[in-house]
Amino acid sequence: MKKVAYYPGCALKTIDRAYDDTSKYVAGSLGFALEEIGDYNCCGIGELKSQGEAGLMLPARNLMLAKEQFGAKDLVMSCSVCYHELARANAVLNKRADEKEKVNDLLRTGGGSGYEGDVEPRHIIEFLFNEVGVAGVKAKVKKPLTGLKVAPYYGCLYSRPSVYTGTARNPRMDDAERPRFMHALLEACGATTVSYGNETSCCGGRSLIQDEDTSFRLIYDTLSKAKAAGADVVALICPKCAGGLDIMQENVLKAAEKRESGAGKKGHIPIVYATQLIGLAFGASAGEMKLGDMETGAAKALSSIIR
Amino acid sequence: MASAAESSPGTVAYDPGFARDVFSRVKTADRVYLCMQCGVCSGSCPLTPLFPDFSPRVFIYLTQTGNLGELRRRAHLIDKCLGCYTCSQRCPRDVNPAEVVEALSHVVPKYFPEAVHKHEAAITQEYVDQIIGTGRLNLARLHVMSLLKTGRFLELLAPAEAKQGFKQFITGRMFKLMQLGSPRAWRSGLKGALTQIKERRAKEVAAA
Repeated sequence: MKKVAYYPGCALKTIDRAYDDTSKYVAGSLGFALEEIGDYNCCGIGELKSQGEAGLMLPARNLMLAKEQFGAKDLVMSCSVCYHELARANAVLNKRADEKEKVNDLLRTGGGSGYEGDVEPRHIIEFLFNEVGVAGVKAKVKKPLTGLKVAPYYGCLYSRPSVYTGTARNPRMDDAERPRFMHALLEACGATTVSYGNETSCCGGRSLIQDEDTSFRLIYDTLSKAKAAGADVVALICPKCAGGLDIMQENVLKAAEKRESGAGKKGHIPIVYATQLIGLAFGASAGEMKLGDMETGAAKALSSIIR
Repeated sequence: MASAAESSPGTVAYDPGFARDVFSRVKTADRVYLCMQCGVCSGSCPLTPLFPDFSPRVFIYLTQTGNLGELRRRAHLIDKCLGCYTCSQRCPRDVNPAEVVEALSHVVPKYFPEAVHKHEAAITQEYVDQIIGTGRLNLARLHVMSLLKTGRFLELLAPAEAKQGFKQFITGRMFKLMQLGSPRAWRSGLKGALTQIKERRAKEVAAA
């Protein structure tokens, strides 16, 4: 088992434990022990960008901890928002010496050693695809997801923007406009992926409380398109997307029903994390994959596979 | 900032210092002046179909020219940006429109205080207070506080809220939320330094 530094983030340590546990389970089954960095802090979740160097120090500190505690070159994480924040911090620090100095001053105030912008944040999907590969995943499948139609939903920050993620620029990375890594991993598990057009659309997660009308419209668009394309479930790789598509789905559908009678039904579709599906294919039980934590009937939709 | 020329009909006032103020806040701003107004950003934006006055291309143009009159008319929309980065992804000149709009949202309180959406600002403040105060984000607390601060407390009594709260409780996730804690570095001076930055920013907004 190879040890890898892992940044969980606040959502995964609390309400989205399903994604945390299943990420560790899947990586563990494939020979990588995800070891949490100690004393982590919030990545800033995009809301601290107006706070000067504070908004850069938060992600940078986690990268620094990975280096201090593990001597790591890579820091793996499952949350796309954290991934974006950490990748952005790296890009800015490597470009702007003045910002780096301010951030390092802050890091040292907190007792840290400083950070040089040399630890690479890696999204779990990209990490598994590149470090294990499709053949490696296939070899571990015990209960193939045969017959299951999955709509893979990447959302925004896994593949965008290339200036931070390196998608479509770095040959190792996924495509920026038409990512395929999650497709490949799920297909390796025997699932059928459907094409529905909203794979990289925005879920409006940032405005989920601030301006729910906008957010709900965008979420409904994705849900209804996935359903119309014949998907049984939508697979996610970001807890912020889950906040909208899963936890708020009931409210999203109610709002859609108000706009147009009958619309609510056209948008109901169970939501799961991609790692939950992969774990099930590896032979894990529904309980181990925390399917009960999902709010939109994932366990029921997957009952034929669970047995 | 509101000059006489701006208020008289038929004339447009331009503020030459405005662009500098905005672009100095974009961390990767060296390509902002390469914008050629092609409009790929606005054509890709998920918000433009919902709010025709929300247009990254127009925002950049108005910022470059310092056309504060027209910006004022659209200022209430600036904060709606979802940060999805589709515009930045597709920009043929790597202008990074998403972060120009983001920088623009940071100057809204200074130039267009009347356009600040009180509820949205209160929620952003809740994020800032929690993250700077404790170093971590408690999502349940964020949800409850946001609804309380924006006068939507009745929604907390909705059956769906109770159902989800109960589920969080029996699955032990409520307990994990209470255990979230704070990083050690927050007790060794970092919190104080961050609070200073927060106060500096608050002062800047208040001075406007």
